Amino acid sequence: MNWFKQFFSRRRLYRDLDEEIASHLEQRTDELVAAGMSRKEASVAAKREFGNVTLIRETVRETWGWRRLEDLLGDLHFGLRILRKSPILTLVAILTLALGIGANTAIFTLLYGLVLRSLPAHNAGQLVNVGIASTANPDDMGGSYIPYRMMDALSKERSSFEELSAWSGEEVLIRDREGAMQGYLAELVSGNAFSVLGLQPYRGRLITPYDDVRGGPDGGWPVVLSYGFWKDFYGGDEDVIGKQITLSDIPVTVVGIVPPDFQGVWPGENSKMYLPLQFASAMEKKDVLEGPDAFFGVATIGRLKPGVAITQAKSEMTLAQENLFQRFIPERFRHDPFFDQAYLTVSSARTGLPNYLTHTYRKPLYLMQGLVVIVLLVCCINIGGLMTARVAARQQEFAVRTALGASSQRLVGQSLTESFVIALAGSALGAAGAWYGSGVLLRFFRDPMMGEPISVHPDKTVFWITAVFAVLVALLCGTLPAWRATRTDPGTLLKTRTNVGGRRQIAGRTLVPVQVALSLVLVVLASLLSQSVIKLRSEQTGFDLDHVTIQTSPLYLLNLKGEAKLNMYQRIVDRLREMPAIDSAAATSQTPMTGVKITGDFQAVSEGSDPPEDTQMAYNDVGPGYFRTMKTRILAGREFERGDRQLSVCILNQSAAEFFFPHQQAIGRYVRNRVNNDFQESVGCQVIGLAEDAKFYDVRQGPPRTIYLPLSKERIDNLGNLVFLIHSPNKAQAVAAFRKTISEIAPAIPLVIFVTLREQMDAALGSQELITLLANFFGLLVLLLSALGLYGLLSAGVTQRKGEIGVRVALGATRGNVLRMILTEALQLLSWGLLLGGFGLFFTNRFVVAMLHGVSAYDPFTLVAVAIALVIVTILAALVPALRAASVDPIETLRAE
Amino acid sequence: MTEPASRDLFPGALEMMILRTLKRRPLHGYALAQHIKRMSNDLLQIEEGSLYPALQRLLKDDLLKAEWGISSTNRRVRIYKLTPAGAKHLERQVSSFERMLEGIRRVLAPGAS
Repeated sequence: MNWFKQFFSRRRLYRDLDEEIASHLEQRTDELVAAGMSRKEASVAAKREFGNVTLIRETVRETWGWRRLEDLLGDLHFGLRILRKSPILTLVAILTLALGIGANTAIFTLLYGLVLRSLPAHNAGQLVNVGIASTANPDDMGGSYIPYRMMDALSKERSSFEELSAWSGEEVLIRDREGAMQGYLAELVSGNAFSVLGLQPYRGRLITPYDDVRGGPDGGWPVVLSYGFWKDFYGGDEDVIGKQITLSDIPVTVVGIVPPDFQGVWPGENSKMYLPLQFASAMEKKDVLEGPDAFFGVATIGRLKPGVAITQAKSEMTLAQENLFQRFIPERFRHDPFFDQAYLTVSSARTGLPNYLTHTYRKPLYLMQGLVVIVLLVCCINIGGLMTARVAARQQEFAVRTALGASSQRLVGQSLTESFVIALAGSALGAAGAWYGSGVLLRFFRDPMMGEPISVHPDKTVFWITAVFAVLVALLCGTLPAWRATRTDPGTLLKTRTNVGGRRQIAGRTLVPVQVALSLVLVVLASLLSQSVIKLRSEQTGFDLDHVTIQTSPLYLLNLKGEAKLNMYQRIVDRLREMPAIDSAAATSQTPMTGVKITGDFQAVSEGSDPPEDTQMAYNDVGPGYFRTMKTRILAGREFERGDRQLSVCILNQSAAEFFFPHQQAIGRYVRNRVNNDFQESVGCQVIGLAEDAKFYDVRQGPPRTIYLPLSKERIDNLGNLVFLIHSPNKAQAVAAFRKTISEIAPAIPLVIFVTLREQMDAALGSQELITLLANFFGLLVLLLSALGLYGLLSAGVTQRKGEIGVRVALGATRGNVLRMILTEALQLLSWGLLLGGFGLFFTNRFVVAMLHGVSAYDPFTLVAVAIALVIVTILAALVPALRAASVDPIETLRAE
Repeated sequence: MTEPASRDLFPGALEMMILRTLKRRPLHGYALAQHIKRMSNDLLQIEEGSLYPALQRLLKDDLLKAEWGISSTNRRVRIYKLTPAGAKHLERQVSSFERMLEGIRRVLAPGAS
């Protein structure tokens, strides 16, 4: 029979048994009455013959083996009652755990989604990425693209890989219902891409090698949709397969949908659809892949042959690279510093391909995970401490139970059950919070260049991790009080209510210094980070962060060249300036604060015999009105006007002017460059203006020496898309003005996300802000927790030592003495904590040094301030128990003995 | 406190007697108790109540089945019936019991030592 079914129907079984026994007794009584006994006598006799009914029921209960489970339920019931009796303590414990577990789950969701999650591919451990890196550019964000033709050759010639496939992210345009063009992220893939991953379609079919042919397969271009796009854009319509749609003016047919758990090969980027790689040529209207001049970069995902290690593949690539570069890097790039020092890399693609997000957020995520694990630990310690204090307060009860024969196993079980209830409630609350909270956290993770917020979703793995956290927490929280409970000695406790003899070791004594240490570390780090963020945000940048809106419309779609392109940009800028509320507008090649470093090699003309060694400086091609729009002041001379379309004029910032022409008038002097592959046009320009210093790449760094060039006929074709800068009182006005302008002048051009310079800078600081926020939040939480812990400990101590204190007072100790005694004890614990925390800081500081700005990692002011704050908190926490101790009535306590 | 009567017997004796009795015909608890008492000529001091845990043990091991029915005195009672497994168990128990008894008898036989 099914044991569980029986367990849940056990009430019926008991009822049956009771009825049966009652029936038995009645029959016996009837018989005895028939034999001549009075009914009352008969009933008593029947019961006597029958024996102990309760005992029989107990025996039956044991027979069925339910005792353990029923005991557990009893514990649970009792535990809940005990917890209900001190609701505030319980609530504090549950909320504390919920915060701890919630934070862990939320951060782990991100860490897992961006860094740890394997691609939902067959045997993902065998997947590798072959890319190009260069010692000339060690900070490369890990794009790791190689020319398509090189990949093709590698795939055919090399022995380490079973197959190599190509992936390339492109934006495709779809006209929405109002007729405006919208850009969507698509991935162009080689025909074997999905089979290399071993992916099965969710509906229809995936891209196959037959699709990836020049000019498209016979039935027309196929497209495979992502599950999310299918749901959002087509409402999950099953009939979408076979439907024809238009992508960037090319008709394509929807042939399938990828499975829901596949979100592309770049973590956090949500690709909407997949097309054959050859579609790139159709979009560009020329053979960009295999043409003689082709240099089309693709990201590769390959599958290693079984048994081939990644190191083998690496050494094979090292041997082959010279030949491969010779064949596939066009002559014009080969002497570029990047390719000059380039080498091929093979790295695991188990979790997908490297990108900006993983590159930028890997370390901060690990840091945050570490932070929240520490916090969870503190939460556990604290709850353990609270529970232990409670066990101490219930010693009488435990002693009585032990005396009555409760096994220590039962007492441990009881205590563990209580912590389990708390852990379970906390975890459930925390997990629910995290489900929502990870979305909030995601807002801090932004690619400043990317419009869409990144997408990471909690899944089964995250759920299990939370469950594991919960169980660990329950054990951590429960073990200590459980252990304490078993050490209850029934004899001594039953004898006296308070103990006068010798000071008992107070439970959880060692925990307080640990907590204090952790809160010292967290609060100091939080304070250092906060100071940095405040300094960074108030940093003088040299332009107006709040009122400049950026828009980078893909005007390249118009395929304009030279003067025509310059004219188009000028037309849009002119029209923008006429719009209401627009103060000024301009076009530029680079926006500041993207974190991207662009330098060229410039020199002052005729600068004596020994020109300075380091002539690298920042440059930017800016259109007329740039300085007016950015609110960067022109200190002397003038800014670029509409006529400045040649590289014969330039503007220097103060640092650059001082560098080239120390203590001299710069206006009217000449500057020229050294031509290299980064900057291929030769420039010899006359300085017409002197601009104030402004930051460029990154708010953390001071203003670099900068030369501003006009948007020129010479360079315009190499600049690609330009960025529009719009200065207006608020962002909405800029958006409205730009929408109207573009609909008048270039209605076919899609809009991309509008951001202000401030938003772009915040995005670049995103992870830092989040870490700061978390450090502050948890620093305060831990501080609060240690205060609570200290308070609980001292309170329990005072209760335990009431007798001793009574004796002391009776023997002549003053109130002040008692007060001092308790406070001294608290401060002793604190100083141990501070010492421990100091050590902790020494080891943890290094993780945040890189994020500090304008404040030293050992800032004495911060350290002293935090230490003083901890002293104050300690005294506050100790004050109530100390006062209680001081008001102990010696007569009363002595009488109680 | 009263010791369960089964302590006076060897373990399994009560069960064996129950199974043996029920092999002849199904009975309800009270009738079963009376029967065993009568058959043993009241030599075995069995507390009637101790029958019920034994019945539950047998039920749990699927050696018995129980159904609610009506007794001859028109009372609702639970009638116990032997299952095939119970019959087989009884056979095994009886033969091993007989072997044991034989062993004890030899040891106790006069002149053996």
